[in-house]
Amino acid sequence: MTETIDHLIQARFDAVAGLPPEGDWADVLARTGSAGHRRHIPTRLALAAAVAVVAVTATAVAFGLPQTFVDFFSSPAAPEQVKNFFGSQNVAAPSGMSPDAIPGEARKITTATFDANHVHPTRPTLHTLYVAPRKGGGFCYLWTNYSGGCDDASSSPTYARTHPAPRSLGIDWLAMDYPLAVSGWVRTGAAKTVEARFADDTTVTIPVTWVSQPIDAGFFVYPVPSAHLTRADALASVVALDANGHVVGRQDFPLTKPLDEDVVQTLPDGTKYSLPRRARAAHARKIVSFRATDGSQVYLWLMPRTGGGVCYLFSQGFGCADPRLAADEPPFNGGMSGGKSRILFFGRAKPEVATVELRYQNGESERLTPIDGFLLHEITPAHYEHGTRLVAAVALDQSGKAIVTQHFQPQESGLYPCKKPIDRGYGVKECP
Amino acid sequence: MDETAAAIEDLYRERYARFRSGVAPVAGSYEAAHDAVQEGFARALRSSVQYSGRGSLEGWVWRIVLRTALEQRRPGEEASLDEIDPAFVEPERDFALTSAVQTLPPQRRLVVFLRYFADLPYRTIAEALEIDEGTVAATLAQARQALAETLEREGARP
Repeated sequence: MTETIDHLIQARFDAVAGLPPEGDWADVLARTGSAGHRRHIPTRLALAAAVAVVAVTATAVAFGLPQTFVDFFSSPAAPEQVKNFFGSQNVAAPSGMSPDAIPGEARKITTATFDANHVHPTRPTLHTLYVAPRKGGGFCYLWTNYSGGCDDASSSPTYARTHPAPRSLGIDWLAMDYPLAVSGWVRTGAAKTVEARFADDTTVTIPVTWVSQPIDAGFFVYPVPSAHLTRADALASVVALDANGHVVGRQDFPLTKPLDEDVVQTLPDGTKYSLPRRARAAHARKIVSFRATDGSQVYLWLMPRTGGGVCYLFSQGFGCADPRLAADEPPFNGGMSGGKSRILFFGRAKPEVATVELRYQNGESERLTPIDGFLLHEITPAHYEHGTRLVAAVALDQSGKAIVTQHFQPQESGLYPCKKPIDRGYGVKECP
Repeated sequence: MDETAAAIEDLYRERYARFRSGVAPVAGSYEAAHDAVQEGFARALRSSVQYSGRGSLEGWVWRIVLRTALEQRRPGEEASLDEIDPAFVEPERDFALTSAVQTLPPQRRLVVFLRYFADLPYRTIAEALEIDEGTVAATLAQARQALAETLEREGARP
């Protein structure tokens, strides 16, 4: 019993811990004021490092730009924890959405020292860029303790149909009233440089680390200089330019609406949550509250949304309904939220929906009545096993006529709780 | 390079992430924790000849790193591990867990952080905080029960 509690508490702590960070032994040595503790570097590695330095110097001089060029296959292999990170992204992704990164091929590309906490700056820390190729082309990347992602090239026929031309520039950014930092990638080809363009018409060339095939892309991280941390002088766009200075990729940064910023808010019962300012948590009302079969408390709060509509907060999610988009939404839209020991069905219904019928594989069904347009219901353990799972939610009008039917895949793995999860590798365990 | 220094380097390379996670509640932020770990290991290297071999090297380094974190938090003050008042760095990530841990006395809180964030065995926690291993076991048992009860009461079972 103690072990179980210990395990559960450990899981809670693990959930709040961030990505495993990386150390910097060279920095420790520098702080001792002596290089006397430096270990012997194997000749092969030392030689590769020397070659890399020479190559970088030569290309940087040749281009006259703050760019570096890295040969992917000469780069050191990523440590196990990073390989596991890429692997876990594959196995944890929903069916058909795996990035298909090749963890065993992940390599360390470069390091950069910057302050990752742009909101409350403290001091710069070391971050390492790791890149892994994807099956079928493309790449995934990770800046330790900062950001990561994958490019949008994919061998998936579905993807190819909807995205005939993969983007040449991919950007992540962090913003408050104005962008604080950007990071991303640019595909090798036409693009030769990446440029930051500011609202005051000034520009800055962003240093890029270009990585050879099979990655064929450049990577960058750019904390916006303090002189441009004002709305008037803010970063307005990042562009990729070809050799003639023509724009071949572009990301604009509309000024963030402060109402969409997450702030810690207090619900009427005193509970605190990080919610967008637009959600008026102080005026929330709890419309659903019950204890699930695992003993946990389940709740659903509704609160007014500044600008119209409503925001909702339930035990496993948060969202807002924008009245301007209501016309495009179906009469009923529901979904399941899995957990370690419970599963909830959450749905939103338009006024014409009188009841929603949940239908299971074994022929059983349940009828639910929306409250103020919302449903929150526990799928009990009686419906966890294959052969008993939810297959459809049918929205019915007042006369009992079906308005819309939503289908669910009972064979979907990783959703229903179970006693014996399957080890899918890379530290990921999943219920069948 | 002497053997202790080599062992310190191995410890750093193997356990840096755990050190940073375990120290963060004392240092106040992950950035400050990184700095305390860097400085603490540098101090351990400089004074590696002072390591007596009694107790584990890891416990000895933990003491140095925790003291370094305290000193950095309260510059100019004498650092005593008795005065540590650790807290979650990002309480918003799990308010229920934060509230539950916050109800524990500071020393007990630190034992919990070292156990669950740094994954330290009882003996190393005892060495790091210079307390008996039995005290660690008893403290963790009490803390575990208190945590389970608090989380249960809040409807957020662990």
